[in-house]
Amino acid sequence: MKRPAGNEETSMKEMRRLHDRMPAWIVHLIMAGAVGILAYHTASLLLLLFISGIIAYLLNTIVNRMEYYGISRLVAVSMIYITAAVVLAAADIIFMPCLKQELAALSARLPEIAGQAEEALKSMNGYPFAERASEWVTSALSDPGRILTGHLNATEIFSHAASLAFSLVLVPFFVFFILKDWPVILKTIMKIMPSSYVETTVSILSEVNSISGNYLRGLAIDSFVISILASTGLWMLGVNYPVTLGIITGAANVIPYIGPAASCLIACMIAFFQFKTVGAVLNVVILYTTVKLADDFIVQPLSIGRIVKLHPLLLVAGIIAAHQIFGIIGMIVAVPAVTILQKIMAIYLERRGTSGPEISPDMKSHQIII
Amino acid sequence: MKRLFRWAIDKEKERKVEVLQKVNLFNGLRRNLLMKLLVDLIEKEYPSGEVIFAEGDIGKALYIILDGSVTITKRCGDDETVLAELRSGEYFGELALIDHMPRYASARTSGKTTLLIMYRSYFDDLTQRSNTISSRILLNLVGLLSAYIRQKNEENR
Repeated sequence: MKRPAGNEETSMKEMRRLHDRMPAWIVHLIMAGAVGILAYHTASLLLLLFISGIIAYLLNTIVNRMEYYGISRLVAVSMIYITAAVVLAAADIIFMPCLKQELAALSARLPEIAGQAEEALKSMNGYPFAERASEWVTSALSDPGRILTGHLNATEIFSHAASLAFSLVLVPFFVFFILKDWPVILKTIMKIMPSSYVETTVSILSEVNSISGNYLRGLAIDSFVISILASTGLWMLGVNYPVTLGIITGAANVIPYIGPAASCLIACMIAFFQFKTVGAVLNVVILYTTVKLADDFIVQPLSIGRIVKLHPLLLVAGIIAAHQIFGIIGMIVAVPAVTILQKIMAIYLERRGTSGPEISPDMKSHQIII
Repeated sequence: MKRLFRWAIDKEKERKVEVLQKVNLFNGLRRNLLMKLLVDLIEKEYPSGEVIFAEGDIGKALYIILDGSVTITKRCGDDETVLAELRSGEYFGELALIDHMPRYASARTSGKTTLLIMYRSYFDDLTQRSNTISSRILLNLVGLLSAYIRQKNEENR
């Protein structure tokens, strides 16, 4: 049955009156709850968007540089995609055979490594946990597939592979449109922003842009240099799979403290199984310590600079908290996120502390250019 | 060569760079540096009659008028005096780049206006890197201030 129009109008008015009477904090709480529920149900999509955002951010520097010469954004982004396709094809031809060869050799030699590991661990008999470690390593290396299938069934593996393939298509798609339309998105946000918030918003955007841009670009350079250093060092020590281990070291380096320790542990295990001597492990530890010192005192000051000025305790606590909430991605973005939050707080406090002060009398006489 | 790549050029940006070329604070800056400012700085559209900042607010940014017009006013008791009517290619709020003091006057749009906003931290970043843009802006600003002081001295003579 059709409701009379007058009734609808009255109920709308009632709702508006109820909304007006509701305290602001309840409205904010309801909105925050709705956003939270939406974020929870679309977490995987948000993660993809987040990863796309980071990639777009890194590429934005190149797009901006092309724009400085008057090139339109669409042309600049398209040129980057064409170049990326060419570079990937070239990398596939030049570097992939080397990486594939190492990975194939590694998987072919797994039973042999298992034997070596068992032998090496047997020589450590008498140490606490050596027996249990020996059993675990032997069973894991003799059938590596079981590590995976022990936790997942065939349907889950297929669904994970499908979602990975889907992500590989979706991320470049998102990156393209974020890169192309970022100025439009920013312009729309600024258009709806009330004037009184403009300066604070611009200041926050400016700080966030400066910190995260420099951090991400610095981190990419840092990881690349660390990969090269670790690969070269491992190759000189004669450790197997130097390229793969170097790439792992560079990638793990993005997680402060925990990443370098984990990659050093992996390299130590490979060296131990290969040479079966504590001396080889010691060499790897010395190499990783040297790389870490070179990273801390030479590479990072040059690449990341003095962007991150956080207390180590706050940094590690931030990384652990981010890992518990967002997993591995959380650990990677914890450092810039905590730095940005700290900066936003400082800007907010500055805004609160300095709003509407008196004009000092000695300045009045000089000011005419505003 | 330029004619060959005309299809790749952003026409709207070219028009805005021509506006920036008229800004005397940017005198001596090459076209690609003006383009850098246009790409890096945040643009905002204001409706007519909107207050951009009020007298006594802490100055945090320099504003460049890309389109439209802005009225600068100063309160004198209950009255409001119009100090200037600024148009496309002019700027205001430049002292925010060098000090941390309250605004001397208020700025209000007098029509639909598009502004380019240079926040102080962006300028500080450029200064720390001994950037050509920041040194040129500072030189131009010092030139404007010295001209202003000379004019005041003449008036007081």
